[in-house]
Amino acid sequence: MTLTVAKPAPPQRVAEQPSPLGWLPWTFLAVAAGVMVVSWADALSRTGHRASLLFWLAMVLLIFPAALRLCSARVRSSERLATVVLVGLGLYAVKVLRDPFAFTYGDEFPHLYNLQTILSSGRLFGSNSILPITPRYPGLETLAALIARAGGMSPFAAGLTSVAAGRLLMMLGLYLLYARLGGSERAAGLGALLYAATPNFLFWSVQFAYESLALPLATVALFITIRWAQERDPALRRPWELCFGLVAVAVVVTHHVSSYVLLAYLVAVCVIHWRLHGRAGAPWRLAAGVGVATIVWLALAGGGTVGYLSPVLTSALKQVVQTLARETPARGLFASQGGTVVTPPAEIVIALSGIMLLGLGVLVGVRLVWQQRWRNPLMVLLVFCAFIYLGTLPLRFVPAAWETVSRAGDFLFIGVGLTVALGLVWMLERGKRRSLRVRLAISAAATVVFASGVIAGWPANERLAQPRVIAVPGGSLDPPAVVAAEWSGRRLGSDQRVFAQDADARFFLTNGLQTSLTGNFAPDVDDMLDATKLTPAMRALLRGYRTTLVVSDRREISGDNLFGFYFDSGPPALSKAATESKFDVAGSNRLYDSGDLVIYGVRGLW
Amino acid sequence: MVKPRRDLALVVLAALLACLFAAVLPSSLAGLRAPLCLPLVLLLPGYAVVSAIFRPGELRTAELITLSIAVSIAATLIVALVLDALGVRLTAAPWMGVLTVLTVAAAARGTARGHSRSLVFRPIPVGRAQVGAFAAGLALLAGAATLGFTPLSAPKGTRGTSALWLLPAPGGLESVCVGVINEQLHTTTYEVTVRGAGAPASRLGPIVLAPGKSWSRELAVTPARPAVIHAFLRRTADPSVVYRSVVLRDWNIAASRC
Repeated sequence: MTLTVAKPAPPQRVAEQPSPLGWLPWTFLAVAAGVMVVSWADALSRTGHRASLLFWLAMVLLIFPAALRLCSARVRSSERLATVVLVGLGLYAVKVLRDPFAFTYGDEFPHLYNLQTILSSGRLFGSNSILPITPRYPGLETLAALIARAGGMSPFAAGLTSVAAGRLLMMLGLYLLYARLGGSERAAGLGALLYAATPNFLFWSVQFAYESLALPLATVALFITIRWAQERDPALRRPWELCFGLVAVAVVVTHHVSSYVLLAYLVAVCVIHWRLHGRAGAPWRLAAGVGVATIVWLALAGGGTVGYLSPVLTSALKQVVQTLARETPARGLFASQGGTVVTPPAEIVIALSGIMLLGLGVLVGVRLVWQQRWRNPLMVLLVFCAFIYLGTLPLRFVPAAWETVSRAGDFLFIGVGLTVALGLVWMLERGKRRSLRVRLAISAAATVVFASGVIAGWPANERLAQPRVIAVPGGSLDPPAVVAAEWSGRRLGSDQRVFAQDADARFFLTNGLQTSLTGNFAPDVDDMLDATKLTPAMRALLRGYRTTLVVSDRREISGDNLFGFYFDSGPPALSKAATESKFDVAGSNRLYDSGDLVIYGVRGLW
Repeated sequence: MVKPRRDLALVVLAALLACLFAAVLPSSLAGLRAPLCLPLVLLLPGYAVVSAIFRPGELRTAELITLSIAVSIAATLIVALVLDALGVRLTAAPWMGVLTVLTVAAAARGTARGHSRSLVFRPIPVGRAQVGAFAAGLALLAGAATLGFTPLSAPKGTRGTSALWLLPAPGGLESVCVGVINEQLHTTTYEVTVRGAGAPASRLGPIVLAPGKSWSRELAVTPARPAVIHAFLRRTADPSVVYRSVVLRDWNIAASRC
């Protein structure tokens, strides 16, 4: 037996273990830098300076580094998911920093009022004079109410927190859905990032309104459907069915359209499954569950939904036909509500480039899905949705259809994100030799596509903060309409019925807690306020709606749901003096005068 | 204090503490209350329910987190609907109480099914540069929040204004409430004149108001209602100009307070 003594090995340098965090700290730094830059841009904008270049720099910081990392092949799943969540929340911060003191989107006011009502009365299903349908779908406000109660937070802070929860859920749900459908974590990360290119993603989808919670819940419901379908044993499917049931109920009680779209998706998946694989194994039970829940909710609580939605849809359809027949003029693209073009030419070029890149990405993805004969019914449906999304883009020329198409985009884009991401992963894998160049090109393209979504989604002059609260020696000031609304609540109580222009009516609803009536249909408040003579028909209207206060605001911007919530910089455009003075007649009281805004007590005019 | 060694034990403890803190901590301590109590709304019930219904190890961590949040939100809404249907007011006590009971019950079932996982935290190796990047990111976010949530001076050309108001006094038959709100960007001095038909005018002022401040008075008026009462606001810097005017013609409305 020989004993050999091994020579002691030379000390080896232990290879440094790569941190499981990967690039996450650097992605976090880039996102934080983007948030800081956008905060700076907002601060400049609030003080009357131009800052659109800073805004775009922030967008690049938020998207490009994350896209570059997500293009990489060697990234842990946890890092990909964390990156996607970071970007989602970073983009949410852009909206929060735009409106840091109060909600300023037209639809946020009715939902805030519903929340205030739940907090003050402790009951659901109150009334809402501006959007009567919203209290019938109280999911978002109920969640916010418990957040306010549990956390001791203001309604505004609770609203922001509940929408943040929705955004977090959206990013998680999209990532998991794409990972299961595409079978690739890389595609999942890129797909979830690309979903941020939905025109509504940056601002509209994170307003304090019901869809901001319902859409994320519906996305999670789709993910659950996929997991349910992947289990063959009925016993193993049961937990998924239970989870699906809970989440689907949450969708149904939160938002009408989201529940109908979820139902439509499930029915379509069943039909596609039937065609491709036969009847067995399709999610009939899940679809039936959503169908039953939707019908029960319509019968018990959401009775006015059909009456609320049908005029919007029929008007959109009618205008599509009229536009095709050239009976009505087409809507100008990149134009504001009033038709004034406000989008700079450079942004128009970026927007069009982004749409072309997106179309190209969809075509590559569709080709891949077709070649590889992917036969998952939900995958087939989502690819079809991507096609429909491209098909709906021309409808943006139709004035009445534009809004419907824009909102449908939030749902259809789930398909676009996946389809394009699959195409991108295919391109990345083909371009291995020039890996960095391909990754840089794809990240740049993703940033352009995202930018095109931002440009299409929100007017250029509305992306940065406006002066909603201004600092003065010893404190801060709110706009005159807010002060007037608060005065009405404090001095007259919250039982007044108020006629006011769109923006003012919203302040009187939430800051005065009054029953505010506005708009040009049932009742026609706008025409009354714009008229220069008080007619007997107007007196009858005041009597019919038992109106106690009329708010006459001569600033034309007070009728604008986008711009009417801020301080005026410079002299505002005013309507004729007679629009206000017509109420200075026997029987009316001129109760409050702050210059352009006057409140009349009109019970004596009934 | 007992240190929980299993995830579901930690969930139960956190739920009980959240319920307790919501009951005892005042709303003014939102900064402390929110992180302690919000998990009972957004995470814990879902985590417990998911643990109760799935087999151990069936879900990946990301799936577990996603379902926990989604099911928690769903549980919050369903509990609220049930409480509302039963006529219970949606205050913190019943709402969080039911969620706590649900969480504890589901956690017990999850533990019985062997779902409970031991709490072992492995330290993550982090380099200095990574710590620096995180710290810099946090500093940037803090800066962004500080700048974003601070009211700033008005843009050039922003117009201030002032409001004058007049209402019959609450319950009073012979008095009115008159008030001024200064929404100018600087301190302004005003004078208010109140005049009833056939009666001498009452002059009130000088009234010096800082931006955002207001002033109000209850004034007896003669003759008693239903007189027509006028009030006028002048700025002492420009006393010849009536800046704002209000009038009471029909006493069919009254202030709830002066």
